[in-house]
Amino acid sequence: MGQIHTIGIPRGLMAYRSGVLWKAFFEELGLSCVISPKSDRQILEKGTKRAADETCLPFKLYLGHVESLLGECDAIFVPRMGGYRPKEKMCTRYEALPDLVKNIFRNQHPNILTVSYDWYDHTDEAKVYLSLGAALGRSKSESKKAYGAARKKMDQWMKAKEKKQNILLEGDGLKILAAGHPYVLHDPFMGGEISRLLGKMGATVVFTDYVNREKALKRSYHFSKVMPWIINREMTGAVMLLRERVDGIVLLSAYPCGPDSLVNDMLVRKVKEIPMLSLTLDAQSGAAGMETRVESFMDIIRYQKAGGYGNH
Amino acid sequence: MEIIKIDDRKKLAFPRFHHYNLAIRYIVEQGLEQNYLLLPEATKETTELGSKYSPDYACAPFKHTLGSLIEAVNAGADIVIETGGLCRLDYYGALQREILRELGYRCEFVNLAEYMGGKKKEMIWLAKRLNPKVNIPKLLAAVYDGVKMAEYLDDIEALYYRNAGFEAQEGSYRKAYRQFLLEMQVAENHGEIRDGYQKAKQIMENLELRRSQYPVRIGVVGEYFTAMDAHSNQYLQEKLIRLGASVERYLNVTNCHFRAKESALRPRIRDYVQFNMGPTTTWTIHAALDYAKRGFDGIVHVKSFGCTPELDAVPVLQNISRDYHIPVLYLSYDTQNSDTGLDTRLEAFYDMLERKKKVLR
Ligand code: SF4
Ligand code: SF4
Repeated sequence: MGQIHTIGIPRGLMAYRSGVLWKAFFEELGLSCVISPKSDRQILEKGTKRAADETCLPFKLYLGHVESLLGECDAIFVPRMGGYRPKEKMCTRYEALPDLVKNIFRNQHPNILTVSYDWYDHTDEAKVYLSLGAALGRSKSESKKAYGAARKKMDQWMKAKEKKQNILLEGDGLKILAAGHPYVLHDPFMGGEISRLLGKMGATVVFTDYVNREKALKRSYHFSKVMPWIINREMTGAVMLLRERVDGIVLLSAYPCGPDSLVNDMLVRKVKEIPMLSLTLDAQSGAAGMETRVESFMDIIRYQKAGGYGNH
Repeated sequence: MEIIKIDDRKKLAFPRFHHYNLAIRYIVEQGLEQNYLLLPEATKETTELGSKYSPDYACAPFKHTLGSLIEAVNAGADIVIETGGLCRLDYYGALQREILRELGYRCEFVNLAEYMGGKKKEMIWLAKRLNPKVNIPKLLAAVYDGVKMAEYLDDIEALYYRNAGFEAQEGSYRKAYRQFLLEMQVAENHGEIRDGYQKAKQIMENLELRRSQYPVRIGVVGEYFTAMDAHSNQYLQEKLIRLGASVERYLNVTNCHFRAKESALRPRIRDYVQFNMGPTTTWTIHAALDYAKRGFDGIVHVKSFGCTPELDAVPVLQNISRDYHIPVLYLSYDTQNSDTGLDTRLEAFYDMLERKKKVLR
C-alpha cells in the first residue's frame, strides 16, 4: 500500500455508529480524513447503479458514498466486521463489505484500507485497532496511543448524546422513540426525513442508538437469548429500557433488511402495551409517501393520551 | 423378553430439508430410540401455510420450514426441532416457536440455536431432554451411521444428476434412485445403509447411457437451503437434466460439513476474495470458479429472495462470468414463483448454452 495521507470514510452503514472513533483514530495518527457528503438522491442513484437489485437500501447508499470518494483520497476505509461474540454478530453484509467493494469497483482500482475481525477470532477492539495501525505502517505504541485517545473521544461523544437524550426524555410533550439501525435512523435520506416529519407534527424524537450501549445490550438478553446480532440487540434492548418513558415507537427498517425482517416481527408480537408503527423504507421512494402513515399514527397517540379508548 | 410399549415413545419431527430427513430419522429412531415423524414430500399447501404465518420479508427457507413445522404438529408430533446456524437461521427457531405458540399449538419446541455452543455437556443434556433414558454410546454410533447415510445420499444424488439426463432407457435412473431412497427410509443398521448404497451405485453405474459427445454441463451454486432443497428450488436440477444437461452441485451437507473447510477453500479463490464473506459465500464462489475452470457451459446461482450473503456473492460471480466467459443464470426464489416462468427461463438458458457450444465447436 503506497503512502497514505488522506483517508476517505464513506458516510454510510457503521460510520453512523463508529465514525467518530474511526476518524479520531486516523487523525491521532496524523492522517487527514475526507468524509463523503450527506446522502441525497444523486448518491443513491450512483449506488443503485452499482448494486444488485435486491440489496438493502443502506448498502446501495453506501456504494454511492464509496463512489463519491474515488479520486478524493489515498485510500477508502472499508472495515470488515464480523462482531465480537457469537450472540453479538454483525449482519453478514459486514463480513462481505471489503470484498464486495473491491469486486464492484474492480475497474476503478480503488485503494481499500481494511481491518477484519470475527467472533470466532476471540479478539477485542483494542487489538483490532492495533492491526489497523499496522496496516498503516504504524508501530504498536503509536497505534495503542491513538486508539486510547480515539476511544475517549468516542465515549465522550456517546455520553453527550445520552445526556442530551435524557433531558429530552425528562421533558414534557409527546415523545416518540425511533428504533432501528443507526444509519437507518440518522441518514438524511432515510430516518432523517421521518424524524423531521415527526418533529413537524409536534413530537419529541428520541433514538434507540442514543441509549447507553452496554445497558441496552445487557437488557436485550431479556428479550432474547439467541438473537445473533449486536445492532438488533442494542435496538431491542433500548426499546425495552425506554418503552415506559415514551408515548409511541416508530420501528424503522430499510428494505430488504435480513435481521430486521425477523426481529421487528418479534418486537411487534412481544411489545404490545405501546403504540408502534412499523415503517419500511425502500430505494424507490425512501421516506416519501410516509407522511400520511406518520400523521395517523400521531393522531392515535394523541387520542390515547387525551384519554381515548376509556383509559381514564 | 422386553416389551416396548409404542405409546411410551415420543414422536419427534424436524422441518423438511431435502433428503436429509432420512438420515435424521435414522438417528432419532436408532440412536435416541424415539419415533420419528417423517413428513411426506412438501406440497404447495406446505409453502402456502408457511408463508401465511411468516413475516413478509423473512427469507424463503423460514417460510418453508415453518410450513413443515405446522404440518408436523398437525400430524401429531410431540416435539418439533428447529436448527440453528449462521445468519438469520440462528433466529428462525425463536420466532417460529413464538408463531406456533400464538397459533395455539402446545407441542414441545426444541430450538437448537440454544445448543449451538456445541459443548459436549450441552449435547448430552439435549439428548436427555429428548429421551431421558438415552443410551449415549448407542446414540453416538447412530450419529456416525446417520452421517454416513447423508454422505451416501449426497453421493448417489450427484451420480443421478450427472447422468440421468442421458439414460438409454427412460426412467431407469429414476427407478434405481427411488429404490435407494426407499431403502434408506427403512434402514435399521449400518449394514443395511451400506448395502443399499452399494447396490444403488452398482445399478446406476451399469445402466446404459446415450451421452452426446459434448453434453451441456451446468453447475449449480448458491444458498444453502434453497440450492439443496429440491422442493424449494422447484426441482431445478431435475428440470435441467430433462432438458439434456449434466448437472453438478458441489454444495451439499457432505462437502459443507464433513469435508472441505472454509479456510481450506478460500485460498483457491484469492484472485477474487480475501475474506470469508458469509455462511456459504466461499462455497458458492469456489464452486463457480471451479466450474468455470473445468470448462462447464453455464452456472445457475440459486438463492431465496433477499438472501443477504448470497446476494453478496453476486458481484464476484459477475466478475468470474466476465473473466471466464461463462454465463450465469441468477434465480431468486420467494414462495410465489410460477413453475412455467421457471421452465421458460431454464429453456432459454439451456438453448443459449447449447448454441454457444455449437459455435465454439
Ligand atoms: S443489517 Fe439490514 S440494513 Fe444493515 S446491512 Fe444488513 S441487511 Fe442491510
Ligand atoms: S443464508 Fe440466506 S436464506 Fe439462509 S438465513 Fe441467511 S438470508 Fe436467509
